Amino acid sequence: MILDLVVLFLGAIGIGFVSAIAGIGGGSLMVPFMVLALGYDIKVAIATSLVCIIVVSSSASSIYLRRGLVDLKTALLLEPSTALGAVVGAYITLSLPVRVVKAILGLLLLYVSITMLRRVFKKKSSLKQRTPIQQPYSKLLGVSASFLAGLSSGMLGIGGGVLKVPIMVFILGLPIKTAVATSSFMVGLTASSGGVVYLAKGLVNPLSVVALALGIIPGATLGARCMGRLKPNTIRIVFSLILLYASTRLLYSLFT
Amino acid sequence: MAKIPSTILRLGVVLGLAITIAGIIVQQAVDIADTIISYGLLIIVLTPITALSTICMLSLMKRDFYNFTLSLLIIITILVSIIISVYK
Repeated sequence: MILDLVVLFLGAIGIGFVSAIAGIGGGSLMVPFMVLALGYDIKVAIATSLVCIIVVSSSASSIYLRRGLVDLKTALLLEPSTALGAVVGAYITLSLPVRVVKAILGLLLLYVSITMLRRVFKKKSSLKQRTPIQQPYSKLLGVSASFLAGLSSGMLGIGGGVLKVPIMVFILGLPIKTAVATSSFMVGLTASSGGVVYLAKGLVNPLSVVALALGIIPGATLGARCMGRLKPNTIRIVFSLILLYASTRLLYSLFT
Repeated sequence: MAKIPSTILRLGVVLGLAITIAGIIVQQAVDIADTIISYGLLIIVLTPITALSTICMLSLMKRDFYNFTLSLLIIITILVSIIISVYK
């Protein structure tokens, strides 16, 4: 038990480090780490990851809010459908068999890893190059897409930033920095909506929350400090390969 | 308008984490440790909603009805989910 917590703490330092450099929340690494390395039940891992995401995103978004980087109007426009999606997602996961949840998570991680690898091997960031969709229904489209981001967050214990940032950049035309800060603020609220459901069902492991949170905070700080020295693309490749490995193992475990 | 929610977010998670850790430490000695841990986790989970409630109230005070309506909608969604998850 204590050894598990030490491994979780050390793993969380690594997750925080990679997350800070790759610019992600860490949920997509936390759940596979808990399930594959420590043998956690996938529903407990998802619930625990969501609470931990609240800690991380609240700490980050408090800074972003103070600096005026969060676009509150956009966050409040997208969040109702995202929160609804998170609640629906949490209930779907609670009612689905573990194998199905593992399959969905495996496929999502596979998609994220391939998308990241594609972005790394493009010479310039596609997020900067593309222009937002110009159409009268872009807000409606953004709200609908946000529901899906919330659904994936509630179902799979990820923050959903991987989906929210592209929605804000491509559909609503926000600058990337504002999109990241706004997404961070929204991630806390979305995780909170799903987290409440899991907490009420008693699926959150408090010891793991503490071990993860205490590991991720110094890990992320270290990552942020090392960001200038390391090549972000190298970290993104490592991160993508970890996700690719995790998704392969999750999908493979369905057939064994 | 962002200063108060920002402070709530920062202090809320620190307080929640501290209470959870305190609950875990006294778990062997005190019978109510599980309740303390639950309160700690609840504070963490409710921190973003508290910050949002502040934004909602500040919007109303500034007569920004657009932000007020949307933030109220989010709060209602989350509150309904809490009620359903507790009683279902």
